[in-house]
Amino acid sequence: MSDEHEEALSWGDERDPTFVSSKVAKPAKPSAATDPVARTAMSSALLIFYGALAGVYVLYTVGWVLAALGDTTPSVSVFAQLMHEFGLFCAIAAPALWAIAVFVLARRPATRAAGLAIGALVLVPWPFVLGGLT
Amino acid sequence: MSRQTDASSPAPASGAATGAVSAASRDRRNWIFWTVVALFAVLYAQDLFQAVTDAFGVPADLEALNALRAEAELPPIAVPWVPIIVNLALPPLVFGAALVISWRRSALVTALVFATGLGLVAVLTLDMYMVAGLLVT
Repeated sequence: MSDEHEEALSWGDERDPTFVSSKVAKPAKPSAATDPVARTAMSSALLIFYGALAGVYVLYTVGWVLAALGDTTPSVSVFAQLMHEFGLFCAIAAPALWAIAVFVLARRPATRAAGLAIGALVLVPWPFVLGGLT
Repeated sequence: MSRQTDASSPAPASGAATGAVSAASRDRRNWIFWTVVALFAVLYAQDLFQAVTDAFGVPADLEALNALRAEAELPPIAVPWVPIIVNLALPPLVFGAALVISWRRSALVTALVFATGLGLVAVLTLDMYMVAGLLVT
């Protein structure tokens, strides 16, 4: 007991590793990249994030399919009608293409997550979401 | 693909031959890249053509409609310039971005990037149609 009290009241010397200006090298802290527990937790969180966004992207695709089915934009010619329908097809394919492009182009998990999050913001099927207003 | 040919260190004896082969493969790769870009340029140009048609057609249609509304003493409908201008700007901007992103990449990745850009243009164009519809009604 007395030793603990004395230890608590003493400041230690310059060889104490916990001392800020200590000359003794501090033991390296385990970083997220090297610590297997932290890495597993990070990859689990990333998998959950990817899974959630995969669900969002599937919903977007369904939303664009329904928006295309309910589309009644008039066209002046057969060519214009054809190209408008090609545009609707591109909109349906956009979420899947975006996800594939993000995984092909980005290598770092943070960049991939950011790319997928931007896609989730940009590719919202607004004509389906606000379909009743127009 | 370019990294593979560039990374190969030729033996001094066969250096000239390997250099000629790598130059030929680089020319072929460039040719394929620009063919893919040209094919997608046609589709982006079609999107731009559609936007230009709307930029002239929508104000003309609204002008005719406003003449009828004036006879019925109804207030005129303003031309939705913001979605029209955004639709005009989208194809060239996205095409430029796709070109920058796919620069010096394989033909398959280039096609993927340009196809994704085409999808993005389609999505945002349809969003702008909806915005224009909301502004007009």
